[in-house]
Amino acid sequence: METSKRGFCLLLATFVAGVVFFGAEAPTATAVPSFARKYKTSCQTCHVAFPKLNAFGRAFKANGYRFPAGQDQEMVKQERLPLGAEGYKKVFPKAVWPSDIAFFSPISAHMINRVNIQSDQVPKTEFEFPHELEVFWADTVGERFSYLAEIEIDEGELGYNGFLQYDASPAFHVRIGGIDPQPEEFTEGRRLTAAHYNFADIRGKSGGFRLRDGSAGLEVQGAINGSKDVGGLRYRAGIVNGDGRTDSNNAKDFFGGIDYKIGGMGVAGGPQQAGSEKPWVDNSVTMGILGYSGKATYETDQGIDYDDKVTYLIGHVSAWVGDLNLLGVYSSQKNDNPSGNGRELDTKAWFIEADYVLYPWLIPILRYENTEKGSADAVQMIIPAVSVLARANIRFYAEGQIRLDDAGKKADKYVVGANWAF
Amino acid sequence: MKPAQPIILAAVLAWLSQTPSNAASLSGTVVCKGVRDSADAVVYVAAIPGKTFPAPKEHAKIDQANLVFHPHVLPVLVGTTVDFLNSDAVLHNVFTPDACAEKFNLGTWPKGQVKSYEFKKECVATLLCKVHPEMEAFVVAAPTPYFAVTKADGSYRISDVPDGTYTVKVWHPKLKAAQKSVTVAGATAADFEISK
Repeated sequence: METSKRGFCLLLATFVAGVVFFGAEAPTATAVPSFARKYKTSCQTCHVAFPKLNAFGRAFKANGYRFPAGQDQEMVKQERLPLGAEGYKKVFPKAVWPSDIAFFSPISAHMINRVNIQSDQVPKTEFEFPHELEVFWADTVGERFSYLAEIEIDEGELGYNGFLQYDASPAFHVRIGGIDPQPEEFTEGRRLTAAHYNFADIRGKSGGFRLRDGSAGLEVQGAINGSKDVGGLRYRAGIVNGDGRTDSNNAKDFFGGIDYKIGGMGVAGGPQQAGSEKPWVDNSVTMGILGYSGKATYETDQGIDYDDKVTYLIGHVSAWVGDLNLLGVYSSQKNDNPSGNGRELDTKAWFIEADYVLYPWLIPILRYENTEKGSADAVQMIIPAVSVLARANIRFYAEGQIRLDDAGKKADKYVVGANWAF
Repeated sequence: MKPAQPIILAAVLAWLSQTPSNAASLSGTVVCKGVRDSADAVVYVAAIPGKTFPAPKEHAKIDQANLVFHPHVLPVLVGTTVDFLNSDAVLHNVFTPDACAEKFNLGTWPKGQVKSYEFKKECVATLLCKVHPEMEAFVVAAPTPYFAVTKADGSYRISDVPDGTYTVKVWHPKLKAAQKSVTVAGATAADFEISK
């Protein structure tokens, strides 16, 4: 009875906190130096090269931003501020459940700078210094909560994001706030290229919904190790506005995804592959699917509201073979009425990508994308890129976004970037 | 006869105190300029011509716990085998980029397991972990068994140093090494100052 009472109170507290906490689109903070400070460890403990996570980084995330295997408390090196003594657990519900927070504010920043070169644009060469500045706070609160709050200036526009997460166990988390309904290994902020993944960047109409914008909502997710703590299952399911921070109709959008990892480190943490001194090596194959269904309401030029139902079915695979990471996504997107004229729009988008860790600081990347939107000719793009870590928290990159289709012959784009996180 | 006995005894003691085989101690302070404190300097007696020392059978130990090498600086006699224990639930690796330790790379191993390396030559080996780039430690393989690591206040003490004149070296992870000739006779003091 006492246990169920406590469980109810915790669940209630999660919901109340979620209501108080602002809802938002998907947070884009992708490398969190305050975690490096908390544990006095390098960015490369969790990242192949920021923001791309290695297997340990994913397990850290799957544990609610904590070290796996119950080893978190002894790994924390920064001073914590107790918000109540441990003994108050015995007093609950007649007292607030004890927790702790960082003694110093866990603030981090991520600066994204780019030079864009595109021959069919004016100006042909544009300095974006910065393209984006993210300031964010991320930490755990006691043993069961974690959070992220972010203020972001993106191309002159101020945004704010964040989430609060209840971490019951690696197998069950509840997140309230900004949700990114994309497959775990293909979320918006984890790519090494400036170019967005094509499948998440497609709108049914100009200015309409696209998957990569994320949305405010609620999500449950979890990771369960496979046999002998190798590989395992991850799932996620959620309900979101579908139109960002505020909804455009009474309908909510739903999504759900599942993936399974064969080989490699357990998805919730476990033995890494002993023998290799390369922390990114995680010989494994992860395959999964994700579905999304929602409705957006738009207005015609005549001021008449209409609905557009959108569904996605996405299959994805990621394989690590030694220093090579092969990635692939196939997405089938259907908009039933994107332009308000009753015509459906089917979009097939897929890509394959190879990331090769030549040195711990040097990663050549090659991606091929194909996008077929309705009856229009396919957009085909090849993206050769190179990512260079000048320091663990300073990354330079250069890439070409080269159109192979006839319509895009003069639309090639080149990007040189410098990102740093601190 | 009786009055002569104390004189003879004193003479014998005086002679014994001047022979190299007479064990004494070397102690003092190393002032480390330009770093937070004076800990982690290694003071050791350099090679003594014509004298060799058998490597100890007992292994020295370095632990990897909470993403930190313990100890940070470990002096050993040349020929000593060092055991590297992983006490963390994450994989650790130990390697050195230094040729004097054959640029060894012990691979990675999980919690509770040990890998070992014998330091065959005089060497200052930097130890690193490829899995956690922030981790660092040092093994100083000295040619004699007369060595010590300074405390935070810079103090050190090396016991059982035979009387004699030696070159005494000081090494520190971040400061320039230094050396000087020291004549050890009984309890001897030798202070050093090192900087960047």
